[in-house]
Amino acid sequence: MRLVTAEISVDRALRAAADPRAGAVVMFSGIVRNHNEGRLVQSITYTAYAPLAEKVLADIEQEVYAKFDVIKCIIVHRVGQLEIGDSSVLIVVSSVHRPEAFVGGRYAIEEVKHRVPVWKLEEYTDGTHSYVKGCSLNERHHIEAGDIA
Amino acid sequence: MTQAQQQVMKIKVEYYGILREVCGCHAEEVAFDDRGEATVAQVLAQLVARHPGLSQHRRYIACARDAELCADDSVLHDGATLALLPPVSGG
Repeated sequence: MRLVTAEISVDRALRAAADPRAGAVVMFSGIVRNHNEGRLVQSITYTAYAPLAEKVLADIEQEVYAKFDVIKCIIVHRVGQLEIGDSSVLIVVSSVHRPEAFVGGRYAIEEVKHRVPVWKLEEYTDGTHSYVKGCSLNERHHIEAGDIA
Repeated sequence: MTQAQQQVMKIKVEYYGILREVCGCHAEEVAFDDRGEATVAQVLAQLVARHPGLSQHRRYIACARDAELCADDSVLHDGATLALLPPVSGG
């Protein structure tokens, strides 16, 4: 299960990425922050189209193995209502030497942000909320401000 | 053809992300009278007619069926479920 509702366990991910051959482990954690584009964020609710999200997360792990000389690649994405400071996504990559772990991890998070069917609903301190503009799975580009009124 | 013989094909549509706000629900049905199949584009056209607010999102919406993305010309049969996916913003 790469899509989870409970708090992401850093320890479990690090254990899963451990290997006697690994001389490097790189971890990326995406964190819910208290502001975005000038607005004060109270929380973020993540939703997903789970069947495809699980599949794409697994695909991205396999691509990291195929493209980079890494030993383990673990990707976990959380859904549900997250508070400030919570981790929404965790990527752990281990490799013999550090360059492969860094580049593999960077590849993984960029692909997650562009391809996994997950949506962020930002809830603001003033009681309003808004879906974050994202990346179309049709055209693979970011929606610019003004494209959608 | 008698009324009893007339075929009504139903497609279940699931909305995700902002499309749930645009359409005011998480899922609904689309029906086509007297036909056995419809393309994704035809389903989307019917949905845009039902929810005019969808039109500005239309070009950015990806569709999926059985955990696979599908093209506008994909053919759907009675009982199929189509997921409408707006631009993604995970991470």
